[in-house]
Amino acid sequence: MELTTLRRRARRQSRALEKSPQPVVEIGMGTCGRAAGADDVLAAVQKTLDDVAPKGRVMPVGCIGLCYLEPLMAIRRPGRPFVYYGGLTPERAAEILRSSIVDDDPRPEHAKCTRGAGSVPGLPDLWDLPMMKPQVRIALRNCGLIDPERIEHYIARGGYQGLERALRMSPEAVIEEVKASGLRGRGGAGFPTAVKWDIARRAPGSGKTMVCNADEGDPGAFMDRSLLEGDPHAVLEGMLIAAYATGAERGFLYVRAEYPLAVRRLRKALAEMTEHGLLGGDILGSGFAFDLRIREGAGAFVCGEETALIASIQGGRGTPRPRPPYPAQAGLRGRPTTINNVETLANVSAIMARGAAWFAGYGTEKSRGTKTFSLAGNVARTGLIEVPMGTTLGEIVFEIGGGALDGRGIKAVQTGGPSGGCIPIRLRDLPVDYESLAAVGSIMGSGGLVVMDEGTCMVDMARYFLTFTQSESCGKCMPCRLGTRSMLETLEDICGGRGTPEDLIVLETLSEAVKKGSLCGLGQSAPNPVLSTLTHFRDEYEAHINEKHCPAAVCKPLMVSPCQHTCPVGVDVPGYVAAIADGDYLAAVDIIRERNPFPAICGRICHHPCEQRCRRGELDAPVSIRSLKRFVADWYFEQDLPAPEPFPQTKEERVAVVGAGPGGLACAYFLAQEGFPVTVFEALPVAGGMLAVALPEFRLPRAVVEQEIDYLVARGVTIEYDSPIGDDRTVDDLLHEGFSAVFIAAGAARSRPIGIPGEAEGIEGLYYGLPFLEDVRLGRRVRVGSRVAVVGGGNVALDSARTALRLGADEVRILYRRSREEMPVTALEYDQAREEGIEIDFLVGPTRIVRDNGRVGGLECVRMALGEPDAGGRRRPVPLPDSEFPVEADTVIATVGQTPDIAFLRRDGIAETAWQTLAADPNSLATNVPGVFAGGDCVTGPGMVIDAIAAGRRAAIAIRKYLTGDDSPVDVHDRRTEPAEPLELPPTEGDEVLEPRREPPALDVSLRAACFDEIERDYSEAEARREAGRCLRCDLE
Amino acid sequence: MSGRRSRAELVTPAEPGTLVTPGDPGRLVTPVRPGPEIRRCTCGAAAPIRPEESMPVARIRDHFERRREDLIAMLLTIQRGLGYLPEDALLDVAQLTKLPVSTVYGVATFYEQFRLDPCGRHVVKVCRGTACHVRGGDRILRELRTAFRIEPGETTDDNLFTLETVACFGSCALAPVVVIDDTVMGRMTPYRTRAALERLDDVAAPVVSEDQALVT
Ligand code: FES
Repeated sequence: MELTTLRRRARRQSRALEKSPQPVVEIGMGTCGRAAGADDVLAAVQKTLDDVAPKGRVMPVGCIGLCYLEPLMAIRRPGRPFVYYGGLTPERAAEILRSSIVDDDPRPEHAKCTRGAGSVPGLPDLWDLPMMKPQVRIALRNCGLIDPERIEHYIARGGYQGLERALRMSPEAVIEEVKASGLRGRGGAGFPTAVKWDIARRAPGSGKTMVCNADEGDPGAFMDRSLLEGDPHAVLEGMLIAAYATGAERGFLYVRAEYPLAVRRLRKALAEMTEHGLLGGDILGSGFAFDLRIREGAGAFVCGEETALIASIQGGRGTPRPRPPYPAQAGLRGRPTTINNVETLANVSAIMARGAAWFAGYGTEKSRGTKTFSLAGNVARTGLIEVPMGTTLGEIVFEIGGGALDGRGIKAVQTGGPSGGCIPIRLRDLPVDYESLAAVGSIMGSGGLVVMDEGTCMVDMARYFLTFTQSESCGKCMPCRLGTRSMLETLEDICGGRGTPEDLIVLETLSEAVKKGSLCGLGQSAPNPVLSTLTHFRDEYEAHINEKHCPAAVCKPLMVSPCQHTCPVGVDVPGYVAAIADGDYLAAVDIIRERNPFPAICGRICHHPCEQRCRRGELDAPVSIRSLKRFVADWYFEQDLPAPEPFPQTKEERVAVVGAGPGGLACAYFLAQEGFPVTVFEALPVAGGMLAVALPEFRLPRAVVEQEIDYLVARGVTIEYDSPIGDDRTVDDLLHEGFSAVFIAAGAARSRPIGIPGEAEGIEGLYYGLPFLEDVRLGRRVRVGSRVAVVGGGNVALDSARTALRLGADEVRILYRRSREEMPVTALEYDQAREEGIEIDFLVGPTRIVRDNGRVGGLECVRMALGEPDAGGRRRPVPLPDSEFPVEADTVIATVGQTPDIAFLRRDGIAETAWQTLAADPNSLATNVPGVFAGGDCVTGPGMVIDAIAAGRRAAIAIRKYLTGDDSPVDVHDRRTEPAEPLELPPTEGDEVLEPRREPPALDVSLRAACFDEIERDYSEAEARREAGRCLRCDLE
Repeated sequence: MSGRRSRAELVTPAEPGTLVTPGDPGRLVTPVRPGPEIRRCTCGAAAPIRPEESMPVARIRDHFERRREDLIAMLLTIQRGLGYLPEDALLDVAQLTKLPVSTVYGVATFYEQFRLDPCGRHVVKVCRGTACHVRGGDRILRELRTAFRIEPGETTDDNLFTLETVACFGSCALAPVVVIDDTVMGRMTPYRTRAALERLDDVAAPVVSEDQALVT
């Protein structure tokens, strides 16, 4: 049939379908859809349709790109738009279809969006979804909208117009047009398509050949598959145009054998093309002849390299050969050969149909048009997307992808697969185009974009990619064959805890050698994942090497279980959780105390990084580790147990600890456990540091702190109260008094001023966070007005705000310069504060405190926006011009940060850093003065309680080593000893039988504002044991 | 390898000169030369071959032009018929294409798709692609390795399962992905993988041996 006739018929059919008085159901039947269960959905839908609307039609379509919603179905009833439903089961799909057709109820509560004329109240249009809106779909123009097995569908949407137009032009003019569009190869390197064609066209010789490279070899990428499955003709049309322009007579489609559906659809498409005169001797009566065949690749990554691909098409081993000659001069069977990638060709057909100028209107100066990406990994919305070149990484990950999954922070984005690099998320403003990606050590690649969160180890990622390239290296050239192998061995050493600092230099040297010396792209780019992670995530390599610590808790040989490994003090979490499940509470407390002398305190206020890494969280929600600790600690203190015995003193050397905060006390406890006599010097009349004076009663009752300190004293720790160290009694004096070592854990208790006009001393109604909390806690009289503004966004800000509320303020408002994402507080604290009625204004910064008669009369503020990231990776807030506004307040509490107060140590000559903290060796915590160690907030700046305890533990180990003359580095991490023989493996990782996470009871919110009573309560015994039973026992794996 | 039993059964090769009947595309029937015993893979995917039927090796004889360029396609066809590439098939192909046996062997060992050993009744493939790796695919692999007590590329003693890894199935959006026989399954966990294996008709007992008690 003539193309024009065919087109007329196709348009007629498509109009008829649109106006059809019968319902139409589209179901995404790409490989993704099928993997999610679309086959069963299709069967159920067909059955229901036969029942309720026998004349209705089910239309299998390709992937529309909303893969995270698969299986996906869209129902259209006459005169209505398509309504999309996602995440279907066969039952749900049948039920929706039935209710939609029989009861005229489209069940909007299950629907996601609509498409086409008309609307359904409450449902957005498909193209307005946050995932779709920023997209421009050129290559993917038909994917998910047509039945890919019917050429009419393609033609009805303008298909083969580009070919018709091209055939009316001279081949040179076609090349000119593509040149004007600025199209560059989408397979990875970004070579200008028109230049490639021009070389092939000019190459002397007959039997020119055109190859479409559909051997999508990048693990983690699926653009080509989706395109071939969803719109094969778009690619085939592009191929015909390319063949015409280059003068090729025959062509090959080199497709992965792993993509059977794509192969099937291509075969079908080729048959349709032949039938309609689009292939063969005289295409569309133009005299242009082209013969096209499919070649299945048998799986070899190296075949992405053009010369290797040609070897493979010729039936041999896919090994590359040196160039020149380039394939464009002498390729397949020695004839000039043009090789283009799938997406490039799908763009070509669109360019020829709609013109170069239209295409060049998208993208950036050097990278025109759009790029498809397969968005995968740890991101909320995964799928197939197409965005204009120059779209930023942040837009792709956060707007289109919807940000993090499982509440873990996003850490990096990987592009380019094994040839690409890992880009840290702090470069979120990086425009995605060929040059910008190359500048940060990655490549565009074919479009794989894998998002990685805090649970991804970057060293492990480098190791993973090297495993891949090493096994895919064809072995022809030595640098690649041996170089990738030794790089892999080095990385395996690092991940296995056998790394040395020299390994990083070895890796860098090898990377350079492999890059320069390899014959083909595989080897030349294989070091990219290593180099990019070394550049951007060197700290993770160093943690693996120096501390044998995997921050993401991934590298198995370094740890026993992810939760234990993540716990800064390394509590054997699975051990004590299992003991709770067994009802052996005493054993559970003992296990905790091996590493943490404060179970009741940490059971209340720890920010529980362990739960972030809990594997159970990947299934439903993490085990409530913190609440279990609290339960069992409270159980302990409620028992009438005999008072604990002091640890026997077996050592001579006395140790002094300066500061009875959590860090100092922990150090004292562990040293006492080792048999050392320890004395803690505390300036205040109470011990506990911040825990005792700053944490509000409703989060951490004083009695709880006291009982834990009593326990420590009972175990032999001596505390001297009201004994400041400073001018009268220096650290040096302590050393002379007979202490063999001193640990300084002075904390960071000095509040920083906001630094704005009006903040003069003595203004009434202005408080600083820590003294404010301390006054309240110690029962001093503090008065707040009715409108309280708290400046800051950390724990102290929340605690101050909530305390002010309990002191009787009518309105409490937190003003924070950044956004929720940057707030260093747990979700629980934040939610509780919001429940209690605290208002939080983000992106607001005060500029002046208004004085009114010596009192606070209000605040002047500006709005902020988040700009470039600072050194720590947090985005720096910048004030927006002309955005000043007043905030009413009669009380202002400033909580913009604390700094260590280390002036008292000046006489001792202990080295300081530029940030007014003490300088100490990160491993041994040793200062420049022999025998003097320092750790916790006075070294790191304000941190979390558990980090202070960890510093105490580290100091205890370091001091023991110092006193016993052991100069090996401190190693605090427990490692897997033997591949633990599975004893009795955990009961259920079954999603069918999931026991949900349950939170412990809490004080009703209506009662909270009136009193300082503790909010959280304990689990009952039964609840605790059930929650403990949710543990998957990764330690036994 | 210790404990690995033969997973093939003997098939009597056809007599030379069997009737030549062109069948469906891809199932052409032609004579084969008498040869040593040829073993058939017991995997369910392979087409059943009764002794009176010809070898798939023979099918390719007429179906392909027997050029060097068709080598990979020929090997893929044989493997789809038999489930693996027996040594004799490689010899046959070498003869048909007039290529040195070393070349044919070289190609058969170069590409990941080809398998020189027969596989078990079910082939379980775990994706090792980037997206699946990031989403915990390695834990599924680890689980299966412990459950089957084999390494990727091997087959269980009872011939039931062959464990394999694949670079990427192109279903990365639904990572982690496991393919059992030809069914692609997305968003898998170790548990769901075990459950899917137990749903296979011929897998009566729990996939894991009793002493491990992985499933309750
Ligand atoms: S990474 Fe597993 S399917 Fe692509």
